[in-house]
Amino acid sequence: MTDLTPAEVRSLAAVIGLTITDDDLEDVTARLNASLEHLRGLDALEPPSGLPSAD
Amino acid sequence: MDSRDLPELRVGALAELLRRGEISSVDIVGACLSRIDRLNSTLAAFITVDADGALRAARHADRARGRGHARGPLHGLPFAVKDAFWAKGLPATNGSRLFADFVPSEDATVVARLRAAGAILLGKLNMMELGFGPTLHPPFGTPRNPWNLERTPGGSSSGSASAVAARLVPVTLGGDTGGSIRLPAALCGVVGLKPTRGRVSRHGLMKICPAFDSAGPLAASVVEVALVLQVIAGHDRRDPGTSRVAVGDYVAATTGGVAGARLGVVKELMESPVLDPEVRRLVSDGVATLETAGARVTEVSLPLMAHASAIYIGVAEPEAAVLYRAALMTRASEIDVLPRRRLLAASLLPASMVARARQLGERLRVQVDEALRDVDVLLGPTTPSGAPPIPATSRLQSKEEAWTTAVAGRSVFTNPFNVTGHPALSVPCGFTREELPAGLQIIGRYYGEADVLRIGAVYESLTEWHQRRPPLA
Repeated sequence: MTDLTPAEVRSLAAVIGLTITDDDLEDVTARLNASLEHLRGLDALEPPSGLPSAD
Repeated sequence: MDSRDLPELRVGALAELLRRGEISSVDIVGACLSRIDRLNSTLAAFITVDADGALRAARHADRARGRGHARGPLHGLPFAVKDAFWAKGLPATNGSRLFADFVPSEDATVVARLRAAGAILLGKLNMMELGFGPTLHPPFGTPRNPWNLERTPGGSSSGSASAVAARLVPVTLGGDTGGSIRLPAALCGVVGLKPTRGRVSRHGLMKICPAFDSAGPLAASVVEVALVLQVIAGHDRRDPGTSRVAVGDYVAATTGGVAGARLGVVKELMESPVLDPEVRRLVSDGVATLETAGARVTEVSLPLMAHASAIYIGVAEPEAAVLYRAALMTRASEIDVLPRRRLLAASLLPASMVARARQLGERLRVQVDEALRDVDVLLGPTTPSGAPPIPATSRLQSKEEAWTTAVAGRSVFTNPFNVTGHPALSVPCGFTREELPAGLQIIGRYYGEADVLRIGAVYESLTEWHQRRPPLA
C-alpha cells in the first residue's frame, strides 16, 4: 500500500483544524506512515471468514 | 555519622536511626537538600525544590515523633514526585511550557497519602514533556543519567529515576503509560513498579492516555518500593477507576522465597530483533540466578506480543492527541518539536484502526492472563539496550527510523503490559560493557503485586547490582 504524501498529510490535518508547518511536515508524514503500516498489520489478525466471532 | 552520608542510606536504615533518636528528619531532609543543591544543576532531576516546605514538615515530623506519634515506616522521610502529580501550592508543569503557570490547589491522592503517612515532599521531578516521549529541548533543563552524563536517564519519569540513582531522595513517584516508570528505572539502575491498572489512584496525575496511565513508586530497592506501594495503593472515591480489591501486605511479600515458583520467560521478548545481545545475556543470567534459588523456569509464548507496540500506538497515541487538540491548534509552537510531531501524527490515525487496536488489546490481555495460569510471573527485558545518548536532532532519516526510535521506541517491552494492565516491576540486572545499567522485568497477575515484589526481592538478595553507585562526586 502506498504511503501518504506530505501534501495528503497536510490536507488531512486541515480537515480537523490542525496546521502542520513546513518544518514539521516531513517528520509527521514519516511518523504517520510508520504507524499506519504497523496498524495495517493488525488487519492480518482478522478471523479467516472475515465475520465477527462470538467471543 | 556525617550528615553527608545520610542520603546513601536506605529507608529502613534511616527509619531505625530516627527511631533511636540518633538523627532527626531535619538532618535527613537537610542532607538531601545539600546533595540536590550540589548535583541538580548537572542532573536536572528536579524542576522545583520546596526547601522551606520540606524543612517545615521535617520539624513537624520530629515533634510528632517526640510525642510518640510517628505514623509508620515512612514517617519523617523525604520523597519527591514527577512533575505530572499535583502537590498543593507547588507548580505542576507536566514538563511543559503549556503548564508553566499551573499551581494546583490540592494534592494528588498519592501525594496526600504519603504526607498522611508522615513522609516529606522535597519537590517536583523533571520529566519528558507531557509524559509523551523524548524531548529535544526540555524546557526545565536536560535530565542526565547519573551513570553517564551524556546519556538520557530515560522517561518519561526521568527525574524520578535519576534522583533515586544519584541518592538525591530515597523514594519517588512516577507515572507509567507505556513504560515511563520502568524504562528510566532500568536505564538508571533502580527499581520501578507499574502497579495493576486500578491499584493506585490517578486523581491529581496529569493525563496523557487515560486508558493506560498509572502511578507507581521508584526506589533503590524492592522493599522500599513495597513500602511506598503499601501507602499509596487502594480504592479512591475520587478516581472511579480504582479497585476495591483488598490491598495486600506488600512489605511482608518481600521476605518470601522462590522455591517452587513458576517463572515464564516470554519467548517473543527474548527473541526480539531489537534486543541488544548484551542485555539478552544479562536478563538470561538473571533468570538463571532465580533458577539456582529453586524457581522453575519455562518458556512462554505470547503470539500477540509481536503486535503489541502497534496495539499500544493505536490506542495510546490518539488518546493523547485528543487531550492536546486545543493546544495543537493554538499553542503548537510552545510544545517541543518531538512530542509536537508525535501528537500531530497521532491526530490523523483513522478511527477504525483505533477501534481495531482496542479489540486486539483485549485479546492480548486474555493471552497474558492465560499464560499466568500456568506460571506465577512472566519475565523479560525492560529495555532493548542501555541508556541511549541524549537526543540531539529532531530529523528522522526514514519511516523505519520513525517506528523503531520515535514511535514504538524504547517501550517495545514495557508497553504491552500497559495495554493489558498487569503489574510489572523492573529490577537492576547488571551492566553493559559501557557500564550502563539494564533491567529485568517481572510481570504478575492482576493484583499480583505481592508475587512480583517477592520474586524481585529474592533476585535482589542474590545479586549486588542494586548496591552499585553511579560515579558522581
